[in-house]
Amino acid sequence: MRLLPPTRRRVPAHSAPEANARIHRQAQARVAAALASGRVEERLDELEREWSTERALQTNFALVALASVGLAAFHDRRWLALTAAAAGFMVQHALQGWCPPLAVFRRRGFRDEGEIERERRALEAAAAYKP
Amino acid sequence: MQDATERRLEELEREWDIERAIETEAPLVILAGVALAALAGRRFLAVPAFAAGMLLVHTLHGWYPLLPVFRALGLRSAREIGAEMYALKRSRGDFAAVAAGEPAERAERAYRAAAPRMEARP
Repeated sequence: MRLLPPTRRRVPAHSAPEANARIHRQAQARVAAALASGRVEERLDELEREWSTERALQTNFALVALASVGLAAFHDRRWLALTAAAAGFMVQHALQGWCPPLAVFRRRGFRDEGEIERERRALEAAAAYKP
Repeated sequence: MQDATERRLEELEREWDIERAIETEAPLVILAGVALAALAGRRFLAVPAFAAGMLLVHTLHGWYPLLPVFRALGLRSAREIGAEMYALKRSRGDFAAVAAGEPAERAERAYRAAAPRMEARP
């Protein structure tokens, strides 16, 4: 049962430590900025809309799969190798937590559901205090 | 009591959510479709094309044809799992000390308190 990493830890576990550290640093700074400016509701709304790593990777995979199947159907069947490789990496990401595009998305600041939720819960807790 | 809460939080971090299930199922269907297309004829390319299209519908709109199946199996969204995690953390008093102070201090304490588990706090 312990062969696979936990759902909520598998993305940070397969990201560069610098990318993880920057994501945490920026999240905490945004909580402080939202408290200081009083724009808590707006920030919570932005967090609801934020695209997670999972949503980005699934979209990326679906588009690569559609394009390569289209090319295989109308151009050259060997494009199916790309479909198969992308599908293999998507399964690897689901089970283990890593796939080739993940590093790109992490460097661009995409966060997993747990990281987005941590910022949201921290902001809610800190904003609940009325002096 | 503390240990029971930490153990439950650890379980919740491990729990498979709907996204992880879809990320396993969709590529396997696509792989099967690619294999069929390679071995049994090009018309089977409709299988990976349909599956990829449904995945795109899911990421853009949320709906997915197998959602009722995953729900019947008891799978929850990351959001639902998180709601249980943070209800546990609140009732343990994790956010009790967040209250007073300058925004920067409050943000720091709240962000540390919001870490999924005690030992995971950076």
